[in-house]
Amino acid sequence: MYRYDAIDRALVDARVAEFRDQVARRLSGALDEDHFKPLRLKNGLYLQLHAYMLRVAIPYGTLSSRQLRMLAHVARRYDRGYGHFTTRQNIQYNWIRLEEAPDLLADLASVEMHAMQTSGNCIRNISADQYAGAAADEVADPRPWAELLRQWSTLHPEFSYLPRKFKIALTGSAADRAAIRFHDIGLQLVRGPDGALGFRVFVGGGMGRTPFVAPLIRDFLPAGAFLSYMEAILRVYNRFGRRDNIYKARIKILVHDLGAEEFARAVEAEHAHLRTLGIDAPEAEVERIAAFFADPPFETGLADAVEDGGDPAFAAWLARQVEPHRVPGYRIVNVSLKPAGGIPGDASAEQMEAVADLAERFSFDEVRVTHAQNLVLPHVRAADLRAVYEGLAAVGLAAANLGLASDVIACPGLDYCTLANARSIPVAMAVADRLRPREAELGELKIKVSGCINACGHHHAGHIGILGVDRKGTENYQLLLGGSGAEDASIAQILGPGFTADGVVDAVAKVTEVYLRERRSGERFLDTFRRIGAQPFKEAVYG
Amino acid sequence: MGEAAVAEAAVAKAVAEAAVAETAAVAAAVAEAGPRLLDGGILALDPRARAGAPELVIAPGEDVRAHGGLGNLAVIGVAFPRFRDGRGYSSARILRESGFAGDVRAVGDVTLDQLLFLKRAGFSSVAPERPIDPAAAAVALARFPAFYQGGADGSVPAFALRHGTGSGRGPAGRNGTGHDGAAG
Amino acid sequence: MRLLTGNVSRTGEVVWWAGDRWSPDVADAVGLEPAEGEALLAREAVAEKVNDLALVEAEPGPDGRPRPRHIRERIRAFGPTVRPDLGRPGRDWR
Ligand code: SF4
Repeated sequence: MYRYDAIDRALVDARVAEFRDQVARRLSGALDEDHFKPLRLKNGLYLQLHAYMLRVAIPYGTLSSRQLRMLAHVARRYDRGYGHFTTRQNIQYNWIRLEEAPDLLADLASVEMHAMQTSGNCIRNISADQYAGAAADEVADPRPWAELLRQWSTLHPEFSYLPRKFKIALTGSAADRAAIRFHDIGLQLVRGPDGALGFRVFVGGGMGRTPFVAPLIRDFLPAGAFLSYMEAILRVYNRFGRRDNIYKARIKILVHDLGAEEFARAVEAEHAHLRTLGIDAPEAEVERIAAFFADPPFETGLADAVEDGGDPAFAAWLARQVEPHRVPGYRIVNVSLKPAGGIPGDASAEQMEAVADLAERFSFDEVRVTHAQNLVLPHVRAADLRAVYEGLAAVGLAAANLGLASDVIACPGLDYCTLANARSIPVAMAVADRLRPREAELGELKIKVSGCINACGHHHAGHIGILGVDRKGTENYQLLLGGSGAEDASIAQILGPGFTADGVVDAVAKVTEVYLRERRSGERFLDTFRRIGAQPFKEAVYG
Repeated sequence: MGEAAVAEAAVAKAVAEAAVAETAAVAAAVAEAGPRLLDGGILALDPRARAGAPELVIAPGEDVRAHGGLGNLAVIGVAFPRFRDGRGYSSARILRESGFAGDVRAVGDVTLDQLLFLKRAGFSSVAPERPIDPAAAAVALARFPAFYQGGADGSVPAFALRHGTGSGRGPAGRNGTGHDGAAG
Repeated sequence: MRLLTGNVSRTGEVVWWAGDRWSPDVADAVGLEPAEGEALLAREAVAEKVNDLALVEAEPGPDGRPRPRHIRERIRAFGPTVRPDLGRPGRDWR
């Protein structure tokens, strides 16, 4: 994992001191709310329905045990004993008091964490593949590049007042676990023909009111020109992105309006200029950062077999939650934060501490957060899987549902969020409850729920998406089908008129029945939908 | 983290600490020298600031590159009708990248909280709608001991502090640490 | 009938105008006529102790006390519906 040096530490400490001063000025009345609001937002502090909400950055979803324990401490000391992991691999606390926020940020800084740029029209926390450094299918580790981006984007002199927020995601594998094509910039590490490392660069993806799958704008960007190219994209966006209409201000609209080719031409022209200005980190810096992500001391010659000991629950968990690791004798363990009756993505302080302990004992001290609101222990010895399973079961985190119907993504919705039109969490829980008995039979089925058009619950990228809307003052839900946030990215389409909360749960059950009836051997829900189209589903739901 | 990484981190840390100390000294010197008020409520951020009205004011949507022969001007204004409109930051940096060495002035809705970004983007003065206290400005500008990016105010990127590369100049300094090919 | 509500700047806590003070309990809220509400809102906005001030539509509840008409405000009054353990005792969002 990356560790702060004196520069990193000094920056974060100075930021805490600055915010402490701003909060003091606000509480004394020297600063009014109008002027204070943008300052607190720059430190991730929102005012939500019930209280202040703090969004803490988890850079590229990577945590040490010590950091996860601190997140548990924050939950207990400053909140009501829990936190919510988000679709951008961050964590949110729902019950923060403004007067305590500076102390909270100082506590976070003590474990090299912060809440900078988790809100506002700037470059947000960088997200990445949660299997980075562990995936059997990885071309190269995205974390050093993500850290380079984290540093480059923090307090950037030119890009701190962008037209709108800006999100970047990276993956080092062809399989996309980070939804890169739904980001403002999506980056895929690849090897060029001569074996050199570079990036495929996608720009202009996004969800919200006008969803787009990002087009490819550069097929191979040499790694050495990485930062100057990012700078070129951001400069073109900062100069030419729309500022007259908040709904048209994201880079996806600029890319769409110009066309991907014209946009790429503008970026290339700017890059030809910028790359001569010393913006790219020297190789020594890339190597310095990469050294932090060197392999942990993996053992060699380990037995690779896993025995389930005839325990069906453990066997089901092994089959569902455990993925191959690139080192023989190791596995990647997915920890479901979608237990039956649980709130998707929520974890109590006790659960966070239990996972931190397991990471320390069995996963070289590492934990990852996924955009699907689950956790990952990336480096577990095959021989330790039973112990990890039992440790998770002891805190109610041994659900075996990764990628299944009850592994629902849900944004906070109207239970917490001031922008919401409708509640997401109860609908997500009801859908999970309804489908759980048949979820093994249904196979991979990604259900995603948002409480408003902002799409924090990624409903456009759901095989089944649910969008909460306000219909004459009451909660109403639209059903969308056919989206994917993976390497076969696509945008889900609205099926027809909306439903009540109960009605949308029934409708979801009906579309899964159509799938079971129509599927061919080996087809996922998404494949069947793509083959037969929306009509049979429409007939089943509205007929 | 492996042993090699620990050793490397220790070296980097030592370098960084020395660099931070050096940067702090620079910041202290800057804090002593300015910011200072010129006539008409203009706040000078660095020695390139000049008194007097701008000879040209670039609007947010205007392409600063479309203007030729700016080298002879003493003061170029960049308009900020609303502080949230950040196009002026790009205009200022482009001016500095093109070698413009006169005063680049932010004009309009700019407040204390933007000063640091403005200065690092290459602005040498501001003409704010509401006056900014030079003492408060000095504190705001000296708050951070270092930055990750080079600034058009001559501040160096963190990687240069860490590795002692470059001459201590940001993008305007054309220190040429860019490289191609495989890295990491 | 309307209720005046907001969140305390210092803590973020949800509060309701109770005639002579702010109360965290919607049961204390007093129904306001439009002109009265606007005047109060303007006064409290200047005072700056409470953020995100809003006048919300209300109707008499089962107990005769005013209650917010929109589910959003009822959730603000009660707490997250998915965590009744954290909700305000004796209140219902339904
Ligand atoms: S999608 Fe809407 S309701 Fe859900 S968290 Fe985002 S803004 Fe809030």
